[in-house]
Amino acid sequence: MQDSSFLNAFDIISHFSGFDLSGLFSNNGIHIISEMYISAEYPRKIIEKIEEVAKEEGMKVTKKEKGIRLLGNFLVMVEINRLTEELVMVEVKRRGLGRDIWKEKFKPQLSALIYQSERQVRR
Amino acid sequence: MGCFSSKARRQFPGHEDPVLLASQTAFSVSEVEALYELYRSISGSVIDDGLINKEEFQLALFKNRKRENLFANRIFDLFDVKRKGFIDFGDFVRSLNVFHPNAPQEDKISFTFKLYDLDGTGFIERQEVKQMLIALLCESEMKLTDESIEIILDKTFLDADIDRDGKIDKSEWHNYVERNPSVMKIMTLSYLRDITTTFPSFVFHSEVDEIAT
Repeated sequence: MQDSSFLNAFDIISHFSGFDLSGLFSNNGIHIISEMYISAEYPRKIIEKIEEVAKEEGMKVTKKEKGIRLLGNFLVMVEINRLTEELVMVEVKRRGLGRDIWKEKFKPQLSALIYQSERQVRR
Repeated sequence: MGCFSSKARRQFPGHEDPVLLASQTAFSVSEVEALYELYRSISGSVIDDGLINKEEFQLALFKNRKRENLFANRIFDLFDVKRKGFIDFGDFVRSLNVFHPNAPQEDKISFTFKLYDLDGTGFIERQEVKQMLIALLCESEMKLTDESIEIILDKTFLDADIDRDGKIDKSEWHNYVERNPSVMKIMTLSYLRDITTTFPSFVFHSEVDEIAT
């Protein structure tokens, strides 16, 4: 994989929610929730897991170039970019009303794939 | 969000003539009026003094979560152009203007350079970028080893720091941004182009109309 396709420090910093001025403009409490995770897994494996849970929940799944889009009562967009040779960054943006399905169903299932620097996941 | 007489509006500190602001920015008069409604709700959220202080700014950005945040502080400082400790309406409109799709790229590049130059030395130093990365990791659920952080910094500076002096100057930043346009993504809010239709819940009167009647 080419070095130039890795995320640089400014890419990462600019994803941070403090730079996201859209919070100023959101009304009615419908705003975009943005979260990031680091994983040492292959992106393909992460996407497969997400797709599996999405289908269980009856969400509509659309595969994208670098991620996946899910539609249910929440709209969820996932994008995965490479950070280093070993690590990828998973960005999840979601918006919706009612039950936060990502928090309730997806996060618990994905926790095993999230990188904890204390215990490195080796492929 | 209610209507109120424009006479009362003129008495609020921080208010500035929308026609003047429209002439200086990419916003139309009615768009500036719509921004004023937004400004009013933000500036009145903690202290109803017609000005946005740091707490109100953070509340507006993060909704229910009020928190100290390196980046929100930086953005606040850049909006508060004259370092008065608060953002008035002119500051608000002129700063948001930089994020307008039609704003000059030069202004956007300048803004990000100042944003990342934490101590205002005129250079983006490696230590500053490291500080921002670490602040980000602390705030979110992500953990990285020191080694990984150094790898990311190495790569970034290899790409950006052309004269290898350990810091990025303005011209190196220009060069870097041209080769990495994704870095400038945050500087354009496309919905600013059409604020009056994006936010129909804003009710406003045009000052110009009221003067005529």
